[in-house]
Amino acid sequence: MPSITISDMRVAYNNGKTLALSDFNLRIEDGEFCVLLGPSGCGKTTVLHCIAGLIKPDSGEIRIGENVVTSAEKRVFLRPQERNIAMVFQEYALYPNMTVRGNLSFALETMNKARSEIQAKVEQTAQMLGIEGLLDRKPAELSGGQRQRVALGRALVRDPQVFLLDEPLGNLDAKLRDQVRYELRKLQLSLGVTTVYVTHDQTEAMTLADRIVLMKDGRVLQEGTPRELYSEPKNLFVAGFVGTPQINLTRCSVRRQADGSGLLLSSNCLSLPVPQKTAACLLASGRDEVIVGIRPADFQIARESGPFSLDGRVEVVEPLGDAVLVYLAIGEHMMVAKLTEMAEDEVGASLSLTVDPARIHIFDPVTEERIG
Amino acid sequence: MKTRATASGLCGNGRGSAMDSSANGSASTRVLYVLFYALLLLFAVFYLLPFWGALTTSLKQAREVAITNPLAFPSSPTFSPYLEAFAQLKRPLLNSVLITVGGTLGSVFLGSICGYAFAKYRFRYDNLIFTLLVSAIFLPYQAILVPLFQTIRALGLYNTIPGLILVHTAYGIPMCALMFRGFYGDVPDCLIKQAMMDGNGPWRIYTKIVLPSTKIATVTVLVFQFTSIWNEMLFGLIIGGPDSMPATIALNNMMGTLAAEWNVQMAGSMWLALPVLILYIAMGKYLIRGYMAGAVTAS
Repeated sequence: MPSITISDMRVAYNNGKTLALSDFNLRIEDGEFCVLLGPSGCGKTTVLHCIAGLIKPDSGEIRIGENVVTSAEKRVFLRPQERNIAMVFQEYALYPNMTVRGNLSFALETMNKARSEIQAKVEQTAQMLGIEGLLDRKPAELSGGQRQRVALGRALVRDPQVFLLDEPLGNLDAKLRDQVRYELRKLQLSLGVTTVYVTHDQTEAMTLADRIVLMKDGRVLQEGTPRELYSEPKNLFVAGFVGTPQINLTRCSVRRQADGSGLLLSSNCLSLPVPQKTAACLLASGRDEVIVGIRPADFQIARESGPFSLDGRVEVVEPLGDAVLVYLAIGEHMMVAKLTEMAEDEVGASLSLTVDPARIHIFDPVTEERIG
Repeated sequence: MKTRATASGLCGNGRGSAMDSSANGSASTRVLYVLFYALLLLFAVFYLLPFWGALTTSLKQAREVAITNPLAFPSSPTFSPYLEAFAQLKRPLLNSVLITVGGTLGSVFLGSICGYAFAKYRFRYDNLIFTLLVSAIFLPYQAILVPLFQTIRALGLYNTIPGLILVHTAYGIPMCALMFRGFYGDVPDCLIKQAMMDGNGPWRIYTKIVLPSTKIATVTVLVFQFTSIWNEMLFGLIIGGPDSMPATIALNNMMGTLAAEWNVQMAGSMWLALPVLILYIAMGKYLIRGYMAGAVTAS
């Protein structure tokens, strides 16, 4: 299976008035499950359509393996059917006039494959996805989950080099989504197909991806493994986009500790020492005010109130089963904490939380970039 | 009480049941309700009267036509006017069938691929070209008659059936393209993209995906186009001569001779109305679905 390399790609819509992608660079490794994540309108679907050959970029180059499939400079543009790519659309886009069998075999028929070969391939794919019983039905007679499977099957049946998925789980209900997500990952691992998956749902991205590419306004903000994006977000936007519930953000001033031993972040709701390794960066940035982010799951219950604990009143408790979400009012601030050890009837009670200073995220309030 | 419930159930549609609820109200609304239906009935009769007159007259003997009320029942119904009218209109009716079938197929086919291109493909000046094309619909027939006549004569197609087919095809394309563009616009874009990914070019996508999933649209435009070409007179009069005269012209010519035989004339009208009537009755259910644009969406 080939890798995909996109270099300096630029796409504009509306006769150049709307810039969808600018100087876009991305390399997707052989057999990798890469997720393009971002809010709607960030250009992630445009990237997918460019790889597929449904959009001709204004400039830049796309290579699949060693093949140049799109290059504005070299005037190369392979049509979608010449790229051996399969794509699954959010709407499934099943051909309404054909049976499931017809949908699966259509691409193979277009390639003028032998009847027997088509038959065998369709049966095999249907079996893999558990849709053998549906082969003679029309799409209108299928449930959402079944349509989803047929759409996947139609992509798989061709043994594509590259698999493109555009929000394929968007139209499924929550339970089905988890199941299909798991199956999708299992399938991709067993087939080893290079996969590009577009979604705006960070949970999907976190659970499926080998690597996440987080996009905003046509640019890549950060790429990395789900763990990297979660634990070391490069800027405020990434920090806020990845992770549920959302990261707690609060403005703090930077001060020297009274005993001169180091730096202290403080605001009217919290006071935290700065770990040694970030202190240097913080000093170098020269900011005396920063934005501090704390992941809800990084909070722990403090046995007693101390100089570095966050003391507040429990406003709302949301039991999740294995954990509870606690909305803690600290002054006029609201912090969300995900705790594993709290009884669920403590609304109104006062509660002290601590956080390991090494796990906090510090951002520059002006550039919104990560410090340290 | 129960019977009333069934009756309103039979009325079925939303408006019917709304009417029912008002009918259950005060006496004055009930009177209004009756008046309303009486008025509707009156207009229905009024509009159907000419058709009724044509039907009874066509079944009468020639001498009975002259002495009785045109709306009265025929005293001894006869089909002989139909046979006579058919004998006179045989050739023009055949011409009409050829012209209509040819013109309909031509304009629907070309209009369909045209509408498909305008609905699903973006190209330079596409909107401008489409606007120009559609503006041809609003061009009055009369304004183009002289150049049209000259062109057809120069092509050697005057007084020929192919000439009339050509004219109807060309004149029908804009309307067909406009209608088809609307219908094909409802076919989801992702379906076209998917078909492209599956390795198909525009033509195969059109024949394998777009056409089969918009059958109702095709039927709708086909019936519309068939009816307008079948009923058309002006082109038949100008481009068609004695050899290629459509039935609409021939029917009028029947009256032009010494004395009009109204029963034969009316029987001829019936012959002329028959194909369109059959078409409407047979395709009625598709037409109603077709006129409601959403009905053709593919998913």
